[in-house]
Amino acid sequence: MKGQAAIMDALIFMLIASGAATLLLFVTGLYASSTNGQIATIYNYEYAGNALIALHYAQDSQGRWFWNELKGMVEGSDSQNEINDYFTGYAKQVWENITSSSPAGQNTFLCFDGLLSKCYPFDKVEPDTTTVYTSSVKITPYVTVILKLYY
Amino acid sequence: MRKGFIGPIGDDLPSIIALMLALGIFFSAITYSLNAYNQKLIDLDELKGSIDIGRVVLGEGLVTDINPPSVAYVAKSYSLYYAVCLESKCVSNTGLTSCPDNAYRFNYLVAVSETGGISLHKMVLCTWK
Repeated sequence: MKGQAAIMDALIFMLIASGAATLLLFVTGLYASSTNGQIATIYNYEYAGNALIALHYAQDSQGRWFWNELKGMVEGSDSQNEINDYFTGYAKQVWENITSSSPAGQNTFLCFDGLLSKCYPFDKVEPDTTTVYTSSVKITPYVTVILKLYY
Repeated sequence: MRKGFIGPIGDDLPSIIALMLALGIFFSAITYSLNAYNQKLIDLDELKGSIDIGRVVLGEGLVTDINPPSVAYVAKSYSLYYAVCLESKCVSNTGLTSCPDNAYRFNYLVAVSETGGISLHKMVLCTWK
């Protein structure tokens, strides 16, 4: 009977050890498979901030300063059409550079807080998601340009 | 001789096997977890290094040199290899002219000051161990 009790004790110990090991492996699996969210967040904010700084130095295909042109357009009466024409015309390359470099790709929007038409591309609906990284700069006293990266 | 008695060790052999098996499973799990944890820390450190290298290259916003000396210093402090690519032209601390497949890639939109003026580019920063 003494031997049987020892085996039973050992089996119970094995059961507890296996349970603890399983729990440990489960937690490790969760940790190892977790995304590096904080780093991704930092990178996206850095991208957005730097992109807006880079846009200050950008020129359109006519050699005019992109930011100045945009400033004039947001102050105009037909800002949506003007901005739309600009981004599909002289500033097409600028917009292509933004979307091709953006980590959010085509889910990148340039928004104008203070205008009736909110975000370029105007014909595209902003994704319904809570994960959005932004960077903004005041372009005129009434309009703030916001670069938004949706995920 | 007692009935059913095999020997001092022989009698306890079944329970010893079970105990050893239990300890083996438990310590294997601990070893695996520690390795996974350390690997994650290495990955995070590599990513953090990549972000820091990006900051150095981008500087104040206008890029004049995509491979300033301070980049190599930062990369060395993280024990990282890197390549900074503008369009198809890459510079790196290994002499590679493109990003290896196992590298982390970070895109940036940069304004580059060149002899012909300032132009907008997509910059790709690759880092690897």
